[in-house]
Amino acid sequence: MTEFEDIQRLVRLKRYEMPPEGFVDDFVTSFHHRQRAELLNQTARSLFWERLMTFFEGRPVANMAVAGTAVIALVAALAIGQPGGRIELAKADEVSPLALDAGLLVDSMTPYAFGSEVTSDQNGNLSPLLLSKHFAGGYADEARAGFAEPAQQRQIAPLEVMPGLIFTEQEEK
Amino acid sequence: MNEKVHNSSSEEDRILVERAQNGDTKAFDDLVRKYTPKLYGLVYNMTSNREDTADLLQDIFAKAYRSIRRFMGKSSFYTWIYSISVNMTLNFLKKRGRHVKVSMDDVDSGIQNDPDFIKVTTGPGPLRDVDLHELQKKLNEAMLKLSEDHRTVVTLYDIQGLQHAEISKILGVSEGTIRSRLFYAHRQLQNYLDDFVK
Repeated sequence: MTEFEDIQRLVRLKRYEMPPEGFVDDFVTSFHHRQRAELLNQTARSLFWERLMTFFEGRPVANMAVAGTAVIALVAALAIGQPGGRIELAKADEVSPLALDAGLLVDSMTPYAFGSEVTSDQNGNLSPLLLSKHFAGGYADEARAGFAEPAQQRQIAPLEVMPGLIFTEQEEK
Repeated sequence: MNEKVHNSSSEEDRILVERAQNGDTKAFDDLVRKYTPKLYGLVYNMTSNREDTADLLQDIFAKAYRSIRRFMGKSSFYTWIYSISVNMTLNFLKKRGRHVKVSMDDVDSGIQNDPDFIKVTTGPGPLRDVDLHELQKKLNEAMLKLSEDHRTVVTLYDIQGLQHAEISKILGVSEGTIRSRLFYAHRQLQNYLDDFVK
C-alpha cells in the first residue's frame, strides 16, 4: 500500500464522470458534417498547405533537408545580389565625367558604369589613371604615353584597383 | 488489461487501420466509435470542461484522419491516437491559460457500487456523509491546481488505468520521469484534499 492510496482511490472515482447517453453516435454524425464542411470551405491553397504540413510532420530528416536547401538558396541569392558580387552595368549616359577625366575608356558600343572597366597603359601600369593623381595636380600636363590602346587590348581590371578605392602611387611602393 | 483481450483488440485495430488507409471511411468510423469514450475521459479530465472536450475530440479525430496513411504501425493505434490526443490537449491548455470554466459531467450511477467509493464513504473518515456532487467538484478543483504535465500523468495512470510503460510511450518520456511526476502530483493532491482524506 502506498502512502497515497487514499488519494488514488479518490481520484479513480473520476472515471465515473461520463458524457450523456447517445454522445458517441451524435459525435460521429457531427464529425461527418465537419469533414464535409471542411472539404467544401477549404481553398485549394489551404488544402495544399495543410497536406504539406502533415507530410513534413514527424519527418525530421525531410524537414532538415528542406531547411538546409532553403538556407543555401537564400545565401546564394544574397551573394549574387551584393553590389560587389558582380560587375554592374549601366547606360553610357550615366557615366561620370570624372571617369573620362581619369582616363578610363568607355566603349560607346557597350556602355559601362564608372569603375567597371579600367584600362592600363602598355606596361600594365595603372597609376596614371588614379584619381589621386588629379588631386596631386598630376595629369593636366602629363603626357600619357602609350595610353591610347586599341580596344582589343582592354583588360577588365580586378575590383581592387578601382580608382579611389585602394591605393595611391606611394602605397604601391 | 488482460493480455489476450489486449492482443485481440490490437489485431482488430490493425485490420481497421489497414482498411481506413485503403479508403474505407466506415472502418475509420468504427475506430472513432471505439475510442471516443476512452479519449473523452482523457481529454475531459485534463480540461474539466465538457464543451472544450467535444471540440477537442473533433480536432483530434480530424487530425488522425488526415494522418492515418502515414501511420506505419510501429506502435499500436491505441498509443498513436493517445499521443495525438495528449499533445493536442496540452497545446490547447497552454493557449487557454488559467481562465477555466469548469463544466462537469454527470456521475454515472455505477459509482455507488464501486469498491473505492464504498470504502471512502462508509468508513469513519470525513467522506462518510459527503455529497457526491461536492466530492466531484472538489476533485475537479484539485486536479486543475496541478500543472498540465502532472494532471496528464494522473489522468492516464489513476483514472484511465494505463501502466507506466504505456504512459512512457505515449508521452515520449522515461518511466522514471513518469514515476517522479506521479509522486509529486499525488503529494500535491494530498495537500489540496487534506480535509477529505484525514
